[in-house]
Amino acid sequence: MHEVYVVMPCYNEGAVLASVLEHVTTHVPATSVIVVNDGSSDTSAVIARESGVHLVEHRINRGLGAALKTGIDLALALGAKVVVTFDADGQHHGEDIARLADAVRQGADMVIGSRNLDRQNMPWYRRVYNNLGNVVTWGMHGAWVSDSQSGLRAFRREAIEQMRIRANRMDVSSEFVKEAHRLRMQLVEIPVRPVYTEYSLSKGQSFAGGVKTLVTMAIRLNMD
Amino acid sequence: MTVGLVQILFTIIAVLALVRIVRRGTARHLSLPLTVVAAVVWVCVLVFTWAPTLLDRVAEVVGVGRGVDTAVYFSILLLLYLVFRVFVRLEHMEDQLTRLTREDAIHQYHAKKKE
Repeated sequence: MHEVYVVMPCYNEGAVLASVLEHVTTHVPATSVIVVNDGSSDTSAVIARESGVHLVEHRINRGLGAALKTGIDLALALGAKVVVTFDADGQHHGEDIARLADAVRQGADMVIGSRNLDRQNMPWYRRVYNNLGNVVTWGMHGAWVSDSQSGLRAFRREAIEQMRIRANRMDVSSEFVKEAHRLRMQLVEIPVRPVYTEYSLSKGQSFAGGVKTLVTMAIRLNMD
Repeated sequence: MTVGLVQILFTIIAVLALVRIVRRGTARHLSLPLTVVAAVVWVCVLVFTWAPTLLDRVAEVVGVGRGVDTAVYFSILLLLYLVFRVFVRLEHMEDQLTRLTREDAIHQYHAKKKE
């Protein structure tokens, strides 16, 4: 059993997953990493299995939010005190896991690794997209953060247990912020410097995907 | 008064819809509020089909030029509402599918650990 578990949702990341896992497991033990294979049709599951991490598999693709919740549920079942979410596309640095976990140990309920606090290497269109996500999150849920769409987050066990995470897809990022705001939790942002590669940028949400996420968020506002 | 083909067609559709709604409502396949709202809508269709001048009066009250325009506007609003309800139902189904997939995934994880 570990204090910190890293949850990595994965959908067809076979091209980079081996190197991402190799990088992450130089910073945390492989047995503290949970890969959630979200119905991938490539070799992602084989790669994860061979790397010695925990592998939990959705038979069909259910989306980012669903995969994160599955991984978080498993981490809690394994006894996690801190849960860190980490993208499988290679855009995060493994050393940031310890920084985020430290922020939780120092009292934060939720920590966001914010890419917007240090935007030197961020492409302009990604900056625009992230800021739009922040405005939408603020408009719909009344909570302002500098990077609502960051995939690098950490949660205190007691905090994530209280959160109602029901979003199945990309809207989960805003839902985490909404829940922290609703439950009056201590939300801290610390700057992180992402690695923007052609691959990680191609895995980002498209404009059409963003519109779909917005519609889903509007519908879900009427489901609570 | 001459009876037009459109009036006959609308009457048949409205009566069939009403019969179906009442049947489903009494069998509790539809909630009471939804049964009442759907029945009122189809009764209105019947009434306005046979008394179109009533629709003109409604148009005057709501400030729309012609009675038929009022019917079109209300139809669009009703359709938008129905589309919204379909989306909400779809989201509920998505949630159920996700829960099922998650339970299966975690069950499989533990089963493989035991092997």
